[in-house]
This record gives sequence, C-alpha cells and structure tokens, in this order.
Amino acid sequence: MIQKKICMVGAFATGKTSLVARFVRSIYSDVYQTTVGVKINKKLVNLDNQEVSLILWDLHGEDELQKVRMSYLRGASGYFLVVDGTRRSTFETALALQAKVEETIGAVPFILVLNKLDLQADWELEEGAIAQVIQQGWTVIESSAKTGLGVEEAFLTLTQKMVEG
Amino acid sequence: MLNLPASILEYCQTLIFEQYSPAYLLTDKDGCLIDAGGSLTAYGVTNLQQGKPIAEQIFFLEGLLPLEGANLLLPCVKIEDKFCADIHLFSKAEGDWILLFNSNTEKSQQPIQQFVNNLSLSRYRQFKSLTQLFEYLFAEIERSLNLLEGNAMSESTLGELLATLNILVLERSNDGLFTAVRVEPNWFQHFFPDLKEAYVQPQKRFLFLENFIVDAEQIWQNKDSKLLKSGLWTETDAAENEWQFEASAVNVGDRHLLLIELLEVTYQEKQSLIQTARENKLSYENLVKEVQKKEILLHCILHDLSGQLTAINCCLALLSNENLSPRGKERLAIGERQVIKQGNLIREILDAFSADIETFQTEAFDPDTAPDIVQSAREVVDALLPTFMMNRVRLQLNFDLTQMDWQVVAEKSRLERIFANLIENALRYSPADSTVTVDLKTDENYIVATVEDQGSGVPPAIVGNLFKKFFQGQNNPGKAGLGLYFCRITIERWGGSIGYLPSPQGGAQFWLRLPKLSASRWAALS
Repeated sequence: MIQKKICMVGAFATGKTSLVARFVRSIYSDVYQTTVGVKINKKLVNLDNQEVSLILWDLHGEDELQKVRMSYLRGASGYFLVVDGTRRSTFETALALQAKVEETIGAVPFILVLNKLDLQADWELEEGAIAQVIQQGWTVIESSAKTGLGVEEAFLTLTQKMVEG
Repeated sequence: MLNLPASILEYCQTLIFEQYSPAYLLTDKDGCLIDAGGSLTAYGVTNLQQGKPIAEQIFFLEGLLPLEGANLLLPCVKIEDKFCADIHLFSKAEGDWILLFNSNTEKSQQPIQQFVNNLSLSRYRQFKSLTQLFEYLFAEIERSLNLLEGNAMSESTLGELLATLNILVLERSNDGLFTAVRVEPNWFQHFFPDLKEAYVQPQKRFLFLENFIVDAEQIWQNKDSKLLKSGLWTETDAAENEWQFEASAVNVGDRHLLLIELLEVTYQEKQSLIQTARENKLSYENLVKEVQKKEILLHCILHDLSGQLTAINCCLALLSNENLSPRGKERLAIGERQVIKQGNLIREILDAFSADIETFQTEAFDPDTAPDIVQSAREVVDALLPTFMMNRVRLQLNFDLTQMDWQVVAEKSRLERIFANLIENALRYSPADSTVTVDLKTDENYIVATVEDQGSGVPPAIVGNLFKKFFQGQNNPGKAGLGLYFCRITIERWGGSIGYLPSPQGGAQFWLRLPKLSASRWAALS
C-alpha cells in the first residue's frame, strides 16, 4: 500500500485542524482551539481502486508566538497551504511559507486552500492576487471545514498529484 | 435642507455628538477667553470667565496659547486620569480656536495594549521559569547518570526517578534499536500495552518520532554534547484522548539516549497562553476592522453631504440672479449663511476624524444587482448638467450604442458616487466654455471609463499622491481629500483599477477599469 505524508501549513486560526478533523472524522467544532506543536492523523483513501494511506501532519500556525520548524516537513510528499479567506494577512503568510517550504523540501505537490467559504460575505481576498498564483500554476481550492464543501476534493486532488508524482 | 431624509441627518448628528462630545473655546491673541460652548463639562471644564487668560482657567492649555505658526493636533491627551481628549488648536482672524473631541481610540485600545503588555511580561516570566525548570531537571538527570556510572546509585533508583518525572528514557543501541530503562512511566503501558520484545521501536507508535530520530542520529553519531529537543506533539490514544509529548536526544558518556517526556501542566500552561494571545489578536483585528468600517461610513456620509451642499450652493447662486423681492433676498442670504456654516462644520469634522485608515470591508457583491455602467454614468451626468450649465462648461457622455453588454462587477450607488467624484473634480478644474467628456469603452473582459477635461491637467509632482487618502489637490480647493481615495479603494475591492493620464489635449484624464459581469467568476457562480 502506498503511504504519503501530507503537512498542513498556514497562519494561525486558518482552520488546518478543522480541515483534518472534517476529512478524517467528519466532525467540526466552532470553538477555536489553537494547536501547539504537531498533531498526526491517518486516513486511508481509495484512489482509482488503489488504497493510499495518508499521514496528515497538522502543524501549529505560524505567527510571532510560534514559528513552524521546517524539519517537520521532512519526507512530506505534499502539503496544503491553508488561508483564512476572511483575513488577507493569512494569504501573505501562506505565500511566505510556500517559499520557505519549497526551499526546505523542494518542489513537491501542494494546494492552496482558501478556507472558511461559509463566511464568503466577509472574505478579504483579492481576486487579482488569487488569479496571479493560479497563473503561476498553483492549484487553488475553496473549502469550508464547517460545511465540508471542498474538503474531500482538496485532499483527493493532492493525493492524486502525489501519486502521479 | 440637504436633500437627505431628516432621519439620516438626525442620526448623523446624534452619532457625532454622542460619540465625540465636541466642545470649543475661542481665545484672543493674548490667550484670553472670548467664547466657549459644546460639551465642556465632558472634559471637566466649568465656570469659565470671558476676558480672563484661558491657561489660568484650564490648566492643560498652559503654554499652548496664543498659537504661533502651524495648527496643532494633540491626540489622546489624558487629563487627570478622568478624561481623554483629542485637542485641535487652529488660528483664524477672530482668534485661536480650541476644539475638544472625546478620544474613543484611547478607550478602545488602552485595555488591549494593557493586556498585550501583560501578556508579553507573563510570556517572558513563563519562559524564564520553564527554562530554569528544564535546566534543573536535566542537570538532575545528568547528575544521576553520572552517579550511576560511579555505582553510587542503582539503575532501578534512577529509573524510578525518571518514571516519576513522566520521562521515558530509551537507550539507542548500535543496531539502531531502543531499550527502555527498567521502570517505565505510567503512560508507557497506555501506548505500548503488548510489548514483548526487549527492545522498543517508539517511532512505530509515535509517527512523529520517525522524523525526529533523523535529526537525533546526527547528535548521537557526532557525540554532540548538546541537547536536541523535538518540540511538542500530540498523540491520540484508542479512547480519542489527547496526550502531549516532547522528545530530547542526548549523549551521556558513550550512551545515546532518547528521552520522551509526557507534558501535562507544562503543555496546558503553554497552550492556554498561546490560545489567549491568539484569541486576543483575533479580537483586536476584528475591532480594528469595525472601527475602520465606522470611520469609512462616516467619511462617506460626510462626503455625500458635501456633494449635496455644492448643489445647493449652485441653486442659491442661480436664485440670486433672479428678480427676488427684498424678503426673498433676505431669505436667500440666510440660506447662503447656513450653507457656509454647514460646509465649515463638515470640514471640521473631517479634520477631527483624519485618522489612519488602511482598508475597509464592503458588503458582499451581489451579481443579481450588478449595475449597467452606461445607465449609472448617464444618471450622474443628468444630475450634474444644471451645475455644469451654470459654470458654462459642457458635459457629454460617449459610448458605443451597438454594444449591449455593459454590466460590471460593482455596486450601483457606489459606482455612481465614483462617477460623481470624477466628474465634479473635472468641473472644478475646467475653464468656462470647455467640455468634460465621459467616455465608455468595452473589451472582452473589462469596461474602461474615462473622464477627461480641458483644464490645465495635474502637475506631474502630485500625480503620485492623487489616490492617497486626505490628499488635497492643487490650491487646496476645500475638499476633504477623500474622493479619489474612496474611488481607488472601492474599485480595487471590485477587482478593478483606477488611474490618471495627462490628456493629449493638455487637460486631465482619469480612467477606471472594471471587470464585466459576463467575464467574471461571479457570473459563473450565479
């Protein structure tokens, strides 16, 4: 069976833990519980009749209180850059983290996840900025850990990319 | 009188007076009081006497008057821990004016600043005590291991000590496997219940360690004397309970040790601290957004009031050319005085509120109500035609009649306000008998609108500042410097852009570019 390590990367309070909880256990909580350190979960997915075991590393959010240790990303086959659509600054953090991650582990598949789609009325993201990263070849998926929209799609798309290598 | 519903005017007035409690003082050039009014008691000012030096009556103005040179703004002046005011001082022919506004900024930010400072201090203390604790623990462990080597303490005693500290000590053998010190901490059985072999492979159960052991190997191979810590991680047991650990790699003599410590209180304290700090940061960000939204709302209301006032002024000027009766002229004069007063009031309020505003949020864009840009431009042009006629300036709207697709990503009332801003600006700088042209062009994805006048154009030195907030154009025409700033931030929110180009004929040409609804993703979504 194929096994792949995926890291969840992004600013704090963007919904990384909630995305994992939604994907792995189909649950969601509105209570914000900040992650300190790392949480690891496993999930078995079936991709074109092939079983893939995903090891999900949910890393703590990046801010002045906690910097993400790049060594956590060692061996990752792919990663998610998670952005909170209602906070523009988290998009900038994601851009900075992407550069750091690529410098550390090289060019592996990743997906920019624009989370909190359920709060789209409050989104601060600029269409132009998103269009620009799409033009650079990034895959962008909008999601809501709360409603589940786009979550499965994001994980399966990344799995597909990792398997295709 | 302002062509706005009385309820809105009443609301604005109440908002301003309730939130900012304005008060004023007027002094002569010797610093003696001429006049005073407004909410003076809100600043602890009572029993004022005209003709007496103001500094003797209001201690916090000592040394400030008479005003020499430039106007003065003293934000967030805290007076005897009771009141906090923004103090504006400016000079006019009639004397020096002092305006007092209740400083809400201080009220909202001070507790947050206080909290953040307390948090920083508490973080520092926490960090210091944790460091001391760790230093102590590892010194103790090392001392114990040294004692063990000298047979002064039995291995089982050491094991008990470490187990009590919730630390599992694994020794790495040369074949890369790990063996545990005999007494394991209680949590060990929880995660390795059926361990039969003499050795342990912690990385099989704790996937996090797979990664850490790669780094630890370097410490062990190099016989490094440093301690390498893994950082915290969380494990979930079969009952879905979460346990937090931290691992350390260390060499003691020739022995390569991996220490796995269960963090209980330490983790909870750290988590609670970071949780509080982040929640606080999120609340602060939300608060800032709310303040910005209110300030923008206020600016927009005032900007609209200002626009209406200009129209009223023009009507009054036209009326003055009519053959009015003496009584009519008298009433016209009253009207003109009121307009001037209202204009002054708007300028003063804008001065008082010229706080820094970076961004604001608009409500969600609704593709069902996306405006037709031709219709919006036409409505504004029609409304402004009388003013143009009075100023003997022509106003014309050009667009391709064969095109049908003019819907843009925008919101109708704001789009019209943007057109009004640009066209009114063009009028202000247009000489008599010239023409202002509004031109609309469409391409595959965007619509470009231009407003071109035949004035003298914008001097190159100030072009770069045109769209910045509170920037006032040449000769300071008495506007707030918010019009073009408002245009820019609004258009950018819609995914468009705005700019200035000198007209080939010598005048000014402002352009804006908005995405067509048919080409936007909103159309796809709707």
